Amino acid sequence: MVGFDTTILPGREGSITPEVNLTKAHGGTFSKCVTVSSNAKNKPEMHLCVKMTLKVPLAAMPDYIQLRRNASGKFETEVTLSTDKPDLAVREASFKSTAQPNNQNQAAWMASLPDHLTFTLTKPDKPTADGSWDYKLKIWEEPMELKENKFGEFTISTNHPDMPELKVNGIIDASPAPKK
Amino acid sequence: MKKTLKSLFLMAMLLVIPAACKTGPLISVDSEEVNLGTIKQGTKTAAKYVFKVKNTGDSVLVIRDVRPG
Repeated sequence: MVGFDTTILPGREGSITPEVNLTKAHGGTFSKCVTVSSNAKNKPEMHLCVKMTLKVPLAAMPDYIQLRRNASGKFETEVTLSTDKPDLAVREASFKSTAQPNNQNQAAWMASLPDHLTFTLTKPDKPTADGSWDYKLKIWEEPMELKENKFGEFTISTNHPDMPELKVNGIIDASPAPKK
Repeated sequence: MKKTLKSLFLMAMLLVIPAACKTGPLISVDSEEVNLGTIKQGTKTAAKYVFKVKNTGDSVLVIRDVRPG
């Protein structure tokens, strides 16, 4: 998103205000640039860049959660939660489908979706070399009928003051359980 | 004939001289890249920066489009 003045009189100043969305950005150092097209004789195209280092208080690895059937038919996955908080607690884990129901069956299925997924959180013995704590979050759901993959968003509610809700895109995979 | 040529030349100069003095619109900015430093995610949803752009030329600067990239 970017706001800008469309006309600037000779000798006057205007502003160009790029805005970088940080809610889905990954941690690390990055630049976001905009190209300014104008009737300027010296620079008809000018690049303006904003550089920043984003420190993520809490991140999920992988950043795409796949809940898959295990041998006993339960849907499960394990996610690493990397955080600067040594006493992390997870309050709730839930899944919300992003699909629009296009028939009654789908609507019924979505209504039957469990609001809350079951989980366990395991604390690491010690922090990593860079001082972050890598927790293991195991999420699972009891066996249910599922004919097609469901895409959506997982929400992990935590006690982290800077990230009370971590949202991660993902899928509930309809593939059959692996043979024992 | 000579007079006509002279007046034509004068008229041409009248047109050329102001055009030569004109710079047209010129764009200038203090810095094309800024560093916002370290931002802790979760403390804000968006990072905003106001670039002050000056028209150092002598006619109106029209910004047609600002697009990502």
